[in-house]
Amino acid sequence: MTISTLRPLAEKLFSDVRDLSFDGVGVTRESYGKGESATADYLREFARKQGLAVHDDRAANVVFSLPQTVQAKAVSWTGSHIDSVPQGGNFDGYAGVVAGLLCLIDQKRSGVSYAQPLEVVAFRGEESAWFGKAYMGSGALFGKISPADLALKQRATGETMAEAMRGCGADVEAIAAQQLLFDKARVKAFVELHIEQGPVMIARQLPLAVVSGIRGNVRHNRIVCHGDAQHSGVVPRWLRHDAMFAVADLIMRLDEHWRVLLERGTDLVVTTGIVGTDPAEHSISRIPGHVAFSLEARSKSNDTLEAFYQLMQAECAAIGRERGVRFEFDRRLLSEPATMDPALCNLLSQACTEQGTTHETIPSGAGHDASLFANAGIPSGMLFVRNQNGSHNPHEAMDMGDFMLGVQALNTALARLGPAGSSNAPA
Amino acid sequence: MSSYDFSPDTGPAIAAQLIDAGCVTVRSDEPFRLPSGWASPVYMDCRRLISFPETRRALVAAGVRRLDAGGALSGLTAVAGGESSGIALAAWIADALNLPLQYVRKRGMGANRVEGVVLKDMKVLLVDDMMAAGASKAGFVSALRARGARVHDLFVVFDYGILGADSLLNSLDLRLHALANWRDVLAAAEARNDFGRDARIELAQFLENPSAWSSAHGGIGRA
Repeated sequence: MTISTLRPLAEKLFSDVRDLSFDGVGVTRESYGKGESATADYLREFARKQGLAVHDDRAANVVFSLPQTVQAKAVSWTGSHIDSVPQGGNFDGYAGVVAGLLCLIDQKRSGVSYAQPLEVVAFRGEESAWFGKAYMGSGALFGKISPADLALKQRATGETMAEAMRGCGADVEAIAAQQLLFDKARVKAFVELHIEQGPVMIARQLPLAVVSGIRGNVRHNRIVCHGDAQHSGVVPRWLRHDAMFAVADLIMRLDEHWRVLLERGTDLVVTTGIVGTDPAEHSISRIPGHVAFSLEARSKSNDTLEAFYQLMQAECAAIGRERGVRFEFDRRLLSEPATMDPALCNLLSQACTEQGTTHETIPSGAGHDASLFANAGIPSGMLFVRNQNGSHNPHEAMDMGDFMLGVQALNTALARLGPAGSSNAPA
Repeated sequence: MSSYDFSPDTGPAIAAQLIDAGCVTVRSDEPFRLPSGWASPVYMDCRRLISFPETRRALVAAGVRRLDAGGALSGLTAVAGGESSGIALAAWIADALNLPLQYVRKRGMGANRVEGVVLKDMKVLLVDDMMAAGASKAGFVSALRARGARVHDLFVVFDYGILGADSLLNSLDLRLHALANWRDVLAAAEARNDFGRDARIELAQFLENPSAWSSAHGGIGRA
């Protein structure tokens, strides 16, 4: 029996969770909120029926394992996140959790377990869309969520991150104290399966890809440009301090820097995803006095992130002088780029080759929980599964055949981890 | 002085001058990304040329000879430079030919996109330092033609020669006069042992199938 016979079970796991988190357009699984908790409840119930052990960790992530390995002193971790962006796709994150569960169920049913026991983690709160902060579930485990983060408010409900986490059973006091919430030394490897969220694998006809590294990012959730609100008809150009023109000027300057940096061989993407004048005061006939916007730059290189950030600061200062406006910044948020473990990359590539799946090694443009593990010194690897139409939208389209190839390669690689090197039959 | 053995106006000889002026960078770790979306292992920075008086004089002289041989000078009444790096080059060529100069902006500023005097039915030569996919040249030509100029010839020092600009130029009824392209750079580099062997192999692979190289490195390819 091979793990590929579990395909009907995988299809059920995808369709059931899609149904319970469908919002009419895509799926909505709020971080530390309703859709995510409903998914966690469903998975706990599913795991118990399959005879797996399940518990919530101190950050309210859900951890699955074989019942006989709960006390194991050295384990491998796999998994991904169960939250989604608003009106997102069903496979972003969740596919990695389903893949891990299939690896456990295959061991349970065959009676042949890995040399190094496997634990599967369904992380909460990976998406920054809800609280303006990514990697909340995995970050909390590493003591990387600060009291300032805990005070961030959910975009729709206004609930603070602390309240939302407490509502899901997380140990918020320990998180606020930035304690390490798990036995780090026990986790010998972290391998995450995830859909590719960019277009490269479709273009290059690769069902699977091994990830070499993950782009980091530097962000401000909210920058406010302060100008001078005046009647639009009476103030001549040279006396205006228009916050909107200033922000537009900034974006165009950054676009020019970006273009030149790319031409000269730098890895960089830049986004202003939220921009707005204040609806309470804005009007067609009013020169905008305030414009708020978000700014994000991502790169594989920390130096590039820092250099671009300094350029941005310099342009804000220049525009401030030239246009008589002022830019006010909220907290600078940095997620460091991460490099995947070469030995794990080789193991994943080898597994793909042995099963005859075309694959290549590519970098990840999007951030993933695996980057925290890699930057904390835990050997980490990632396997991408081909996916059409991009991600963070309802049109994600992962082929189940591709997914099962990914599960097979993940299973092969995870089974080879550990000191013994070969699988153990149960006692 | 380098020891290559090319006649002075051939592509490889010009390419060697560009290499000597430090215009060419080759890397294999992270691709260069052109504004059109192409990924490439090589980068050409012709903007440096203005800082090398002997090189720029040689290139302008070679350019005038090339334009003359290509029939682009007969009846010519003005030379127009493309913003920004085409302007200095156009000025030197206009000076050599004793013709009026204009320049064309990338985007219109107020109502103007062409600066300088343009008279109806003037025959204008468009000049830029280089051409990649040709999108900006199309914009310059349409701006000049909108002002009543006749534009049938385009001069650049360097033409990528691989990104499919020829069909665009055909559709614009524009003849290209270029002094060198990437194949010339490869030939010069091979003859002089520039950049190291690995970098030359990377460049050769890119030239062999630019579309495949670009899409394999996250850039666009031809459909």
